[in-house]
Amino acid sequence: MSSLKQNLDRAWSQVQAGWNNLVSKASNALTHFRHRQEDESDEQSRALLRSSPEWALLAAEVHESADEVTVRLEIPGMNPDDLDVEVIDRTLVVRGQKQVSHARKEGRYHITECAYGSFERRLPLPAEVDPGQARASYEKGILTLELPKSERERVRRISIAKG
Amino acid sequence: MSALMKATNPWRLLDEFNREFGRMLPGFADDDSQVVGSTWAPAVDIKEEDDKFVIHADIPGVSPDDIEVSMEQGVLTIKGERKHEAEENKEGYHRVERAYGTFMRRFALPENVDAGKVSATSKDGVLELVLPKAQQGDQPRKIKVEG
Repeated sequence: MSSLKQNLDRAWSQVQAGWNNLVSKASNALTHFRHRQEDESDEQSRALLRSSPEWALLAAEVHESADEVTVRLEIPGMNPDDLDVEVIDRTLVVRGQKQVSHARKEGRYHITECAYGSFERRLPLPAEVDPGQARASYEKGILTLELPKSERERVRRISIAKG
Repeated sequence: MSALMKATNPWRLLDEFNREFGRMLPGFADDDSQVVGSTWAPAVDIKEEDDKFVIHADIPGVSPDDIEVSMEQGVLTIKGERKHEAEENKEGYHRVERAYGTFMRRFALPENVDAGKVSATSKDGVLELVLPKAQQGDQPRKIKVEG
């Protein structure tokens, strides 16, 4: 009986450790997908939209070098035209709409774990960037943004180096 | 986390969070995909059509060359590895939410899948597997009665 309790205690502490790990790593990446019926043109696509999860992890990576900030965001299965990227002050805003692709709609779904719908993810940037100089690409389901730092930020960096 | 608070249905959210939890942490999934050594598992959609099954798996950032699909004793295995895109200095990262390393998912397939005809394609980080159903050769053929 006591060994059972010990095992349960151990299992529970593992669950707690795992949960804390998940929350610290992934809770910011947890993104709401809005299911707007009017975004899909036919009933089969709408049915898949309804059964798909309303939350998904859009995992991001933010890297800062001397001259620019690089952001990578995992958004598989997108049409790049349905992505909208904006920089507001020091926040990067990525909006998008992931549609049920036409090839997918026929048939009966047994498992639906992939998310569809419209989403928005905001990421704080570590430095001020120049949106006019930004470069964006979408490959293998990864949105990559290369955001050169603003002139002011570069000047600031140099002055600190000299001081 | 503020978006979480706005959820209209906390139970559904909890359920989904739980599912993410299961996918990310080895040992908690309801299938046996999370074997020792794999660090993450992709989300999938599985659908059935009249003549085939189609599986879509979200595997962003992984080259087709690094994805391995195999069939053994009626079990389909998708596994592979996500590698870092560039040899960047480990310093300078402000946020790392992405999982790197090996992933794996396994599914027991219905008996009527023709294992020899499974095909796989990858586009925009989504792997598509088409699994044709086997022809039911033993079934009596329909004979049209001519009038």
